[in-house]
Amino acid sequence: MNNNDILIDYFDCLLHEPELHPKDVLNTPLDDALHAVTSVSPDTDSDLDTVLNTTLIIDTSSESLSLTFSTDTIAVGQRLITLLPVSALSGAVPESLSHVAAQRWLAGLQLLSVAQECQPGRLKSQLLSVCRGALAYG
Amino acid sequence: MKIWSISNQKGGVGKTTSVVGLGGLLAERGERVLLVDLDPHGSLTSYFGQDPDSLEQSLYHLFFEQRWRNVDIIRDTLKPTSLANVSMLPATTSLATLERQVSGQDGMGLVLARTLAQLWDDFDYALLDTPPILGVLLVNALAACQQLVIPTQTEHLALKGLERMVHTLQMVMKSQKRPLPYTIVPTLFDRRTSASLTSLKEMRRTYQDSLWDEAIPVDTRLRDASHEGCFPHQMDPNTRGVRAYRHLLAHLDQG
Repeated sequence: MNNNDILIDYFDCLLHEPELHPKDVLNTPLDDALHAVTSVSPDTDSDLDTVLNTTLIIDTSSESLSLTFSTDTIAVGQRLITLLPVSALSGAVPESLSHVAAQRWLAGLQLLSVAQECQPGRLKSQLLSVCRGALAYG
Repeated sequence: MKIWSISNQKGGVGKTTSVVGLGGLLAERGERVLLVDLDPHGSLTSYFGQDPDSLEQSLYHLFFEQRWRNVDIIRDTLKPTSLANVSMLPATTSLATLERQVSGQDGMGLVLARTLAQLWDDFDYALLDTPPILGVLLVNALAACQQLVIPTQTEHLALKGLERMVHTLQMVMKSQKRPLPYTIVPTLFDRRTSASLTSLKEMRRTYQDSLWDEAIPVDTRLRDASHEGCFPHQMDPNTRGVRAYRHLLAHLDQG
């Protein structure tokens, strides 16, 4: 290995974390799982490519909700809002854990697995913050 | 929060002076500023009257004990400066052992980014004062910042350090798969010496796209301010050094 190869290996080790198996993510406390896959840095094209080309399909018993991430970031934002709990949007506290809330929780977990595939970046962080909302209040 | 790292793999080029100079001027216009000392020598920490040998909490503990996860602990670690709207995350000399302690642990280059993410709404700017050596602390700064400022003394040997710094930056960008804009800032410029003039000319020839087109002059008032533990503009708002840092700040704001 030449000098550059050694340095690149060093940077790769410091700047990337080992992939977590989805099972490990689910067996880890939520905060730990989110911390393990979160970092802040400006978006990169590769982040966008990874996420925006991903199709997330969420099946529910009442309806089949297909969320296709397009290259339109506004559309992405609008679709992510559907994953936020009603209480987070309106400030109202739900009286009980509804079927819809349970579905939202499942959707949050699915989105978490999508976020896990993304390179570290702001977009990834935003996805994870939505997951946190969906999982914490869903 | 805007995060600027002031870095060079060569020592004595004016990194800490630049952090303090720019931080003070940002505060002067009302920004909430966080200065982060990543250098085990603790020059920035000492500047504001803290002892890097005896502080009980520092950046080291956020790294090694994973306390970056708790925002209250991070806030408790911050120290005041001579301006109310500027805080400092201090260093202790134990940071020098960090390389060995975290060696081989994946993701340890992202700890500072996560720490600053916890403080995202507390500050408008974070300025990072980095050690003059390639290691986990410098990599953390490069991974966390949105803009890099490379102070470079206008003398021959400093040009080699600059070359090395740009090379490191290019490899970190490759690893992170993201661009990182940088500005080279000639420092300690003395127009009476041929060494300064020759070095500046060489910098302009080699780095014309990234080089700031002015220079920070040698100014004893900057040293006087460090003696007093205050920001340079507090001591003399019109000294040559402060005027130059004002120009630099205006330049960086455009970037």
